[in-house]
Amino acid sequence: MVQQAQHQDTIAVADFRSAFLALLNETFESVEGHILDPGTSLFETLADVSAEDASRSASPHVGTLAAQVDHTTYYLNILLQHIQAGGSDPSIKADWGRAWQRTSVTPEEWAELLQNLHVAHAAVREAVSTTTTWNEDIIGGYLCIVAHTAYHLGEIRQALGVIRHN
Amino acid sequence: MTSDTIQHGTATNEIRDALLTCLQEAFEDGFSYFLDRGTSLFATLDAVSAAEASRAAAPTVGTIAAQVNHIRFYLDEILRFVSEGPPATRPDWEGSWQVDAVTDEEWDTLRHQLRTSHANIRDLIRNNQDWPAPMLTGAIAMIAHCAYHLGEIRQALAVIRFQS
Repeated sequence: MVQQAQHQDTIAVADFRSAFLALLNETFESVEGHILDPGTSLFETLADVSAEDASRSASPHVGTLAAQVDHTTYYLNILLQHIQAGGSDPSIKADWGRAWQRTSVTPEEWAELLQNLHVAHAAVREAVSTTTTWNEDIIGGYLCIVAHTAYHLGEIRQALGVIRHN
Repeated sequence: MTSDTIQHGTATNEIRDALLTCLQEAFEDGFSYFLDRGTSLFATLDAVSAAEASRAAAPTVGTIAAQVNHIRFYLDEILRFVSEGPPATRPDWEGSWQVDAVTDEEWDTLRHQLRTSHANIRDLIRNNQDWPAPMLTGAIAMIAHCAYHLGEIRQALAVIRFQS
C-alpha cells in the first residue's frame, strides 16, 4: 500500500500497474473510454483489416499498415529488453529501419504479424505484473509503450480512412 | 526498495519526471523515446498552413484544425475535472470536432489555445503532490490521447501534401 503522508513521496506499484494496465488495455484490447471511441483499440481495428488492405499505404511517403504493425511489435520487444535489463541497456542495438521494409503481405504473413503483435503485447502485460525493481527508466519505458502504440494506432486508423475511401 | 512499493522520496518525483518527459516529447521536442526527432505536436503544427489545416485526409475524418481543437478540448476537460470534479453533464466531445475550414487568424488562435492548455497541464503535473491511481490514469491517458491524434495528424499530412 501507499505510505499515506501529508503529500505522497511514494506511489504504490499497485496504483501504477492499475493505471498502466488500464491504458494498455484501452490501446490494445478494449476501450474503457479514457482516450478512444468504442471499438477502435488496436486489436479491434486490425481484426477487420485484410492482408490486401494491410499491404497498402495512405500515400507513397508512408509505410504500409503491415509495416506499421511490424514496427509496433518490434518497438514492444526492444522496450521489453530494456525494461528487463533494468531500465536502459546501451548494449541493446535496435534496427529501427528494419520493420519499415515490410511492404505487401500474404494472408499467412499478415496472420503471423498479428500473432507476433499479440505475443509481444502479452509479454508486456506479464512484465508489468512481475517487475520488482522500479526506476524512472522503467516507468518511462512503460509510458512510452502506451504512447508509441497510441501514436501508431492513430496513424493506422487515419490510413484506413483513406485506404477504404479510395 | 521493497518489491511492492516504488520507494523513497524520489519515487513520486521519478513518476512525475517520467510523465513530464513523455509530455514534452509528445508536445514540444523529442528525445526519440517514442517519436522521431522533429515530429512532436508543436513542431508538426508549426509547419502547417491554415489551408492545410482546413483539409481532411478523407471525407470520413476530421480536418487537421478539428483534430487540434479536439486535443485542446480534451486537455481542458482534464483540467476542469481535476479542479472541479466530475462534470454535471457529459462534455461535448462531438462539438470539439465541429471545426471545418479556418482562416490564418483562426488557425493561429487554435494553436495558441493549444499551447495555453498544454502549459496548464504541464504545470498541473509538475506541481501535483498526490497521485492516486485515477490521477495516474488521467496523466497517462493525456499523453496517449495526444500521441494518438499526433499519429492521425501526421498521417493525414502525408496524404494532404501528396495530393497537393
